[in-house]
Amino acid sequence: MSDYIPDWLLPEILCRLPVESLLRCRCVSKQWYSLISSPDFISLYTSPPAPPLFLLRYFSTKPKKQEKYFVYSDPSSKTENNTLVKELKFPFKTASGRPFGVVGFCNGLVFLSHDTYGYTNTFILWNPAIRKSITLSKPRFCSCPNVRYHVWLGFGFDHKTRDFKVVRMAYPLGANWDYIGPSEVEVYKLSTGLWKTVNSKGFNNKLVMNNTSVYLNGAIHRVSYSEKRGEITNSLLVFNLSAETFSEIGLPLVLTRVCSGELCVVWVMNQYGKLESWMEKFVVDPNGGIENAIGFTRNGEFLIEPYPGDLSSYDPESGEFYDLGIYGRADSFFMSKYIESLVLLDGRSGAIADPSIASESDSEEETEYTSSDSD
Amino acid sequence: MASTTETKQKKMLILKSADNDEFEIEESVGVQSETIKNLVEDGFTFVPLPNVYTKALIKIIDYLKKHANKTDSNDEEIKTFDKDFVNTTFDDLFELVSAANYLHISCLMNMLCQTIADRIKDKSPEAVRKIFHINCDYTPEEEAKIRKANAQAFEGQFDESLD
Repeated sequence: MSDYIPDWLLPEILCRLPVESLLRCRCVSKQWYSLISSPDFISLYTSPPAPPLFLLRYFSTKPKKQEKYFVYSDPSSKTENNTLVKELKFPFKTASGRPFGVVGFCNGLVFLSHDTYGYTNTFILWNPAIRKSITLSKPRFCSCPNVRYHVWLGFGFDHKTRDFKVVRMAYPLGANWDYIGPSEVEVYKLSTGLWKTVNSKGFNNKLVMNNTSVYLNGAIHRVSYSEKRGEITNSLLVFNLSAETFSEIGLPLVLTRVCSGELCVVWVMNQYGKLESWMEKFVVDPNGGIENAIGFTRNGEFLIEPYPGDLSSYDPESGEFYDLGIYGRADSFFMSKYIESLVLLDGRSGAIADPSIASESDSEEETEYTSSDSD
Repeated sequence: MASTTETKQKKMLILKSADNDEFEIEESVGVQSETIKNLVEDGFTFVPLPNVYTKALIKIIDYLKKHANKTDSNDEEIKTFDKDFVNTTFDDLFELVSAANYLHISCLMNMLCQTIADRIKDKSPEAVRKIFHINCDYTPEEEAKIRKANAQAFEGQFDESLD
């Protein structure tokens, strides 16, 4: 160590550098390398407060079938435009050429799945900023010729143990693809690289198809419904990632009975968990429905998929639509706030790193998943 | 109560640098440093600072005086002062940051570390080594391997300057 810099000072300076600079700085000396690659540094590091960004993902169909990941600036003011910052190179592909499912994005990691019916069990955690990924070990409850499952996933960060967690809920299906329950719930921890069965107490509801899980306040949220005497009641199913327990958050009364409809109404819960704080914000296009709601930019624009495969932005103030000229496969759009992290750098997070994938992504070639598609 | 504190003479402290120079400052200025504050609370008015040299101490006293008089109206003035304050050589910044750490002045620490980070973020590893006075302990093969493993971070041109 140089006499000029005391030992305690180096992490103070390095934690303020962006990811690309840190990757370069590992070249400075062995001491810098081991500091930047140390589990402590990796777990405490979050990219410095730069201008806010968001990630937009879709599966393009023309001219080539391809996963697309773009990072855009996300200014809070309406006078500034969202500008393209960079494209992230997607290093994987499925044998069938079908898109991956994006379960979520959290603290710099994208969680990809290619498994709806519990056959392929392909789950990938991908850090696009450092181009590293791992495939998860196989979960316990997998489909086989005798038992079929329908699988739902959630991904987030447990602030108490500072660990990334995946929750997987597997519903056994009957001969007519109906739920025969009870469901099996497993949690994967990145620090151990293992799946663990958790108590599914409090999880009696069924989850709504074609609905993404949302990570917020240390918990996974998903629209669910329960059926009593032929009557359906919708609510939000909540899985707390620290306690690993289920609970429910109620929906506004008018939404508890909705099954499908023509209208897209945006509701906001102003105080987390407070049922009475739900407020109707605005209605999109009263003359027709929309295919999917994708997300909000910081300047208040609402990204939607009005028709299958078409991305538009809706301005709730003016009520106008703007076709963004971005086309992809239907249901393939995903958006999230974007930050960068060092998680998975050299596979030192305790997770089981798959050497074939690490080396493939290092050489920037596409990693192919040969497992057959079943969905 | 108010009138008695107003008429009371301002409390003063004496700071002594590592090279034995003494500086008299107002107590209210000095207590922005947690280290000095703790000593003042224990009744000290003479504060020896064996880890802080005169050159750095003069600059830090300037900083503390400026920031002690922070109001809503001189925000811009302080910003300009801070910008000039960090506009110095890396070696000066390293000395200042050590002193700020010893004195526990967290806002100054943050500013200095951020300045150093901002100034090295686009530099080449060679330039960073020279700035931090580090000898490279990699063999050329080892270094090439790390560069290859993170090839995307080495694409393009980097700043080779040492300021």
